Amino acid sequence: MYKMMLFAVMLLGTSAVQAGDGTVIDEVLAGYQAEGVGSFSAEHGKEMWIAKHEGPLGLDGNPSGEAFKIRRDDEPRSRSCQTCHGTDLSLPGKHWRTGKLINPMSPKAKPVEVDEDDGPRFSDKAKIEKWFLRNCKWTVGRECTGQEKGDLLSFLRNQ
Amino acid sequence: MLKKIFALLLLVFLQSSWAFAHDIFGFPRHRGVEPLVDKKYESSCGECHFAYQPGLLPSRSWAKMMRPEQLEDHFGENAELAEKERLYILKFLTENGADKTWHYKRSVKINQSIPENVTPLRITETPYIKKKHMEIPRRMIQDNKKVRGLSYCNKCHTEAVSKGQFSRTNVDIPNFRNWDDLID
Ligand code: HEC
Ligand code: HEC
Ligand code: HEC
Repeated sequence: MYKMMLFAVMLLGTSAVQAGDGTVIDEVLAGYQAEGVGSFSAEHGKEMWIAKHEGPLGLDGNPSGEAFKIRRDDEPRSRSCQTCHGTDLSLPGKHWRTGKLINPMSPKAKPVEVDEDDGPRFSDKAKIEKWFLRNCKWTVGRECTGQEKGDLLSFLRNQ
Repeated sequence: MLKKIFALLLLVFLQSSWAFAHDIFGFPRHRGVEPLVDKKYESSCGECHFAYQPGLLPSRSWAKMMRPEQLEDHFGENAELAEKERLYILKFLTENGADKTWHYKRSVKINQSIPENVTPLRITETPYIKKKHMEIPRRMIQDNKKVRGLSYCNKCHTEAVSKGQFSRTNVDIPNFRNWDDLID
């Protein structure tokens, strides 16, 4: 019995380690392929990562106009993934508006903000999809396609 | 012996009725806002700013904020959630809003300051919170690179995240440690 428990613990241990080594990305990519995407291009992923998009300046169309007198002079003229994640993927990024630190996007880099329930990079499928949805819509102005998301992940995983 | 038991019972009664009176007559028993923690809430709403405690806004405000079209344009950012998550957070927030946590002083004050026909989306727009920060100059808030805006409560209120405490005795404004001498 004791041995079995030990074994179970060991299994759990290895699967936790695996979560950070790209198995989740593989699953996500396989999912896009099941939806009809062919092969992925890290090269195109990189282009997408640095591409600049016209952003609607002054997004004050929100319901609380008056209290919106916050610091807006940092608002970027154009938007890209680098607006928050920065140009060096091994370094932490910073949410352009709130200033909150974002852990480096590179799976190899050491996280700076250690949040106990935040696993390593790209270790939770739902989290990846949640942020693709939010960030593509904010940055590009629309949802990204499976092809695009796969290309982006193929680029990011090797940084 | 009987006397002792009676005294004990009386004590228990007095104590509980004291707490009861507090609740009934609206003297809140606790000082801050309820320091609720929920992992799902933190991972859905705590990645761009600290996860605001539900007791900082009335339920109707949360209900409005959590509408899908509102989340899509959340103060200019996109805070969309998968439907299952959205419903979970909606429930968590509306069940614990400032109008529901009347045993916490700050929640009561915030809630009472808002006219009934108004549904603020910002904590910083509620009359009570607005009034409390009226004297603080812009250079300590918006123009203070380490704070950026009044919205970032936790930058100054050192026990905001851990304890839900927003008392002036636990304030430390970055770059202005002596704020108390500068504000009159
Ligand atoms: C407005 C700021 C902002 C912009 C712009 C932005 N992101 Fe993000 N991104 C975040 C934040 C905040 C997180 C969550 C914090 C974290 O994971 O440490 C995040 C997380 C992610 C994640 C999840 C990573 C994981 O470990 O699961 C992916 C994928 C991602 N972003 C991709 C992108 C892509 C692609 C773009 C450009 C299209 C982009 N982001 C632009 C702020 C931004
Ligand atoms: C993508 C980043 C992001 C995410 C995710 C996010 N927020 Fe926000 N939130 C912001 C920004 C930016 C502001 C405006 C801050 C400012 O004006 O400086 C804000 C403001 C707020 C405010 C008003 C603060 C004030 O000024 O009083 C509340 C309340 C709030 N968010 C709640 C939430 C809730 C609840 C969620 C989860 C559903 C959430 N936020 C998720 C970026 C985000
Ligand atoms: C720039 C720093 C700063 C930020 C950001 C900030 N506060 Fe404050 N807050 C103060 C200071 C300073 C006082 C005391 C003001 C005074 O007494 O003149 C105060 C007072 C208060 C009080 C009254 C405390 C008392 O003892 O009477 C409450 C409640 C409060 N803040 C809540 C909040 C909330 C909620 C937020 C975020 C939405 C917030 N604060 C953001 C600096 C800040």
